[in-house]
Amino acid sequence: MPVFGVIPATPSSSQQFTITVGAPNYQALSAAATLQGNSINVVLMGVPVFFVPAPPTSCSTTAPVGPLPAGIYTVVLSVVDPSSPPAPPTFIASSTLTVTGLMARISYQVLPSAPSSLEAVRLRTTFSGGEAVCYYDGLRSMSGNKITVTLICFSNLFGLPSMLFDVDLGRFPPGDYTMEVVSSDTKEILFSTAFSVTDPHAGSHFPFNYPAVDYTDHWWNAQESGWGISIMQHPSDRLFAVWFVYNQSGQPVWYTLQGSWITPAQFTGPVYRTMGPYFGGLFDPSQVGITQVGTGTLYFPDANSGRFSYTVEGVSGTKLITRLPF
Amino acid sequence: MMHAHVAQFLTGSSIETPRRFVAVVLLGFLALIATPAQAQPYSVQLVPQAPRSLETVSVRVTSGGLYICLTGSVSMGSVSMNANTITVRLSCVQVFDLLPPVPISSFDVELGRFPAGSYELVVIEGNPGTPAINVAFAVTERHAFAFPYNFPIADFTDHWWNPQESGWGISIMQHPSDQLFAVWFVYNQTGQPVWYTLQPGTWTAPTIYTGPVYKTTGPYYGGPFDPRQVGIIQVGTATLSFTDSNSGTFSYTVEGVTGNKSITRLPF
Repeated sequence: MPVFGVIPATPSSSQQFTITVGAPNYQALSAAATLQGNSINVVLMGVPVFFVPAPPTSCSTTAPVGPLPAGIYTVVLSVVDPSSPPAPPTFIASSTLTVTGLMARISYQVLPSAPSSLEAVRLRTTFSGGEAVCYYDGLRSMSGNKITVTLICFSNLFGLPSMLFDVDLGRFPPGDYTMEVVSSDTKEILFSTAFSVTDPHAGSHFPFNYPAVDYTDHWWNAQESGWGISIMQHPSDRLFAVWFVYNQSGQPVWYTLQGSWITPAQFTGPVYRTMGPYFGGLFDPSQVGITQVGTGTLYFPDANSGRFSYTVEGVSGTKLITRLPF
Repeated sequence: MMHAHVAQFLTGSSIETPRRFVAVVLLGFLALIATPAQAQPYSVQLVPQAPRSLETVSVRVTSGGLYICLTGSVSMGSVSMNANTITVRLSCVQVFDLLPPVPISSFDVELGRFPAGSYELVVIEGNPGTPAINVAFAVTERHAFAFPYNFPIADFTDHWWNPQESGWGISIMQHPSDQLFAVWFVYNQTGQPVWYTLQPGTWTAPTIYTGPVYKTTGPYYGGPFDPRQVGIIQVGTATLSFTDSNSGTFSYTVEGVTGNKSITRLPF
């Protein structure tokens, strides 16, 4: 059997590597490799041996190769007997060899894989200890529904074992999109994928009890700086609000509001007060108590202004609110 | 089983979005004729007019007089995007001539949050003969690459919690300014709800935000609110460190208590 090996087994495009060769019935003297297209031709200089058993296991030699560009190569091994020129090389064996790119251990993923309308879409870049490491270079753009994110890549000089980072791409209306990750210096396309944003309420009918605007923000009344209402709205159209105010002794107290949309601009539901374990100790969730203490309604005449009406612990009120600018 | 209730209310799993019919009273009283509108029955305005990268972009539709315009929400399929052109579909109806004019009113429809680029908004009204309104706009990138790049590259805005400790949470708001405003809501030594704010702080890396923690006291919500009565005092410092866009750690020293909590986005 021919001796045939590559060290390291999967060389990368920045590495020199060696091919170890030997041939049955030949005493290996030296070897040399030349590149022809995608073919690595390794010629082994070997003296035929005719005794049995043959050949000894030490009868192999090495040829330095590369570095080569990333790709799939065919290694062709032939042998020449230097003692009897000009005999042509005798073909012994061939094998395929993959040279990986510097970026081979960086993977990309669009999250979520099937976003819904106006849901945050992100690019996740995962690096697992390859020879190059890439960082977001601050540039993302979109043209013709194609989103381009550029990454800046360096040699992994510090031997970083793994890294993961997420870049927000945006929130999009229904449509078909493509995304490309491009190297900022070589302009090489590192990754390309397509995704579709779908409409979760397609085919729904009037009345439209779904918000047309994301009201997520910290809201306040600019004339009453000191209290606020934190509104979180998810692509599920559900809303979770926390009202931050003060109790009768002036201490900070919070209440939560959850409910349902009556119109695209009006949300109403119960208000709860919770009690629970001191944050300075172990938190046992079974010690948390929750009591409904009233109801609240949020109404938004436009995307940036609203009205909060409430009856909480016997106190009724209506407050005008706007988004807190910061 | 209080914690089960808390989990329910925090996740909203007990809440069903109502699908019941709610009549638009105005439509009920007016006799409306869906005739082809000859003139432009509405006007549109982009909000904001010069959006920054990943800033929320909406269109404000104003109508009134002889016409009333409606749209479904974004999620009703009235907004779509192709080749950087965002199409919004409206439906306008003309008010019967003998009735008084409809008051001028407006509504906002969110279009999305976009990366840098050139975009066109096309608003189409359903009746034939009404010309479309086209608005071209550009979204500009907030930051060129700089080293060190201490700007967040994901939006961490959400209500965060620890699923093993249902009952407390941290509400994080992040704006296109990259400023972050967080409210931590927990319980004090007597088990009463108490909140602290984390602001203003600094991004020391794209995923690490650190700053002072404040406690505020103020007038009872049951009376008139005089902002001069609000007292604010720094009670500690905290750091939010995110391992990816959906998980992180909240480390704090607040009123002498030091802690370190794993947090994830509250699903609801």
